[in-house]
Amino acid sequence: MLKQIILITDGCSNTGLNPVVAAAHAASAGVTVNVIGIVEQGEIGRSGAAEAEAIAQAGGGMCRIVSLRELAQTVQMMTRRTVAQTIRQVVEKELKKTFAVDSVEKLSPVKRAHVVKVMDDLGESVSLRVCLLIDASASMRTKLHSLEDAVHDLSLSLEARSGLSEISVMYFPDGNELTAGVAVPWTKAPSEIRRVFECLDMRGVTPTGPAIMSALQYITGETAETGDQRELAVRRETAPGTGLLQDYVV
Amino acid sequence: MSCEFRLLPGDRITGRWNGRTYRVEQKLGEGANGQVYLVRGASGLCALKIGYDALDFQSEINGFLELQLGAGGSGSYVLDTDDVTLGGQEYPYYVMRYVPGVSPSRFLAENGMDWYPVIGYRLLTKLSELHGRGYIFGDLKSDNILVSGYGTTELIDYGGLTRFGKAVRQYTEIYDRGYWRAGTRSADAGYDLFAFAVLCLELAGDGEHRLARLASDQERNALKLVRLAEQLPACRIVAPVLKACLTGGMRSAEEARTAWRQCVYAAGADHAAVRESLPAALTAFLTGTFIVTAAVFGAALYWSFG
Repeated sequence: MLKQIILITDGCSNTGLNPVVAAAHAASAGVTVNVIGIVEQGEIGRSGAAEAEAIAQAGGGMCRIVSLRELAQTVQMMTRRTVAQTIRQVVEKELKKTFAVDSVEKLSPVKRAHVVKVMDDLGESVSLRVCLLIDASASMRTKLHSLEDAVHDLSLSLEARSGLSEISVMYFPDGNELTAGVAVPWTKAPSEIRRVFECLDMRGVTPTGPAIMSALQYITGETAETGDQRELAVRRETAPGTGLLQDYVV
Repeated sequence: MSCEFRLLPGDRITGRWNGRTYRVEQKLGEGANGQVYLVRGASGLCALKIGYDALDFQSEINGFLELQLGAGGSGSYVLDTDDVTLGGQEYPYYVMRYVPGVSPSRFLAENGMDWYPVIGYRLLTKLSELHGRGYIFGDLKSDNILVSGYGTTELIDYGGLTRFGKAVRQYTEIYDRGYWRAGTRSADAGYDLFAFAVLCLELAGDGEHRLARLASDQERNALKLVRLAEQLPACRIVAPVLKACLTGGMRSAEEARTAWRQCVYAAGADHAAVRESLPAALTAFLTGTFIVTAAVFGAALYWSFG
């Protein structure tokens, strides 16, 4: 199963664990962290943009600073590209073994056509979990409508895939806790997602790092009380990045 | 990802694998995933598309190749696929038939809205053919259509080509059924027909502005599009077809095509009836005169020989 967290924020973290470290934890558990910084009249600032970029790099994902108008499209694009890139890493490992070339681009057009077809089919059929992690600090309040739109839009595209696709929405801070709360638990039905944001309680602090850790726990299904799940997570960590897919691809 | 190359007329492109050379004549256009040039090769003028991302680009080419395979060799879309080095970087490209023409909106501006039903019908015909082969076009929009001559309409840029039942892989928001909350993003005939209907609204007079206004509304939905179809004068005669396309009431492009034709013919017949009303009266008058004349002549003959 491919797992990714998409962090949507409009500023800098200001409390708790360094979010870049949290993203590195995610990457080593095979979970990609993508970051979307929303900029409206230049709110995100230089430090916010730099942090967003660093989180994405540590999380093995990509970072885009966009306006609200572009949010839905960006979420879509990131999800698709993350799937494509993960599959590409696995396929290129195989290519090295069988054709002694290290990238798909270096194949002849005929071979490339075959390999890309296999990759496209995989991208469409691989199981996928996307957790949207939303910064619900006060400044995000005006952006809720666009967020809803973006989540709904993503769920429409995921629903059309032939592989299992699950989506969840988390927000932070969760009340007075420095963690993230679950706004929408794992779902395959996009209709459940509309109008979930109205209940969000917008606060001042931005504990991005702890929130990423919460999302990581949620996406890997690891909770403190279940021992065998923890064991599973450890096994995953031994094969960072592509290990999870490798099992699937066979 | 970015477009760090720019080819000028006279530049030459030689493929790394097949070794064919093309001479650039002019730039035809630029899309999200590549640039298109008019080039001259050994077999004459063709269009050459250079891609930014080899993988996305290959998916697009694969779509063509599958179509070609399905067509049993008839109607070849891709003439050559290869790589070229530009500014130290490798880019993939493919060569296709050159299709001359202008965008549908320009064609209508130059030739008049009388051509509107013709273009719509030809588009539905193209979609119907494609659907017959098991694919939808996916990214149907003004930019991907060229019109020439007497309304000859061609689809270009098959980047959105998707097999029935799969997830639509490339689309443009304003034409997207999902964006208007009118259905899924799975490839079925209705997906293309929805985009077709939006395109028809866009091409109808001031439809483009009104469409843009509806699209930026948070409460956008297909019913507002249906209302627009009923209001725009250019759409009026085909409004029932557009309505069905927007609300999922058409099962196939073929059905839409038939319905479109019936609407256009019916409107054409009304049109003809108005134009002919005067000559018809004249004919009736002349016929009447002839009968009277014949009767008088007949009577005259009867009397003279009687």
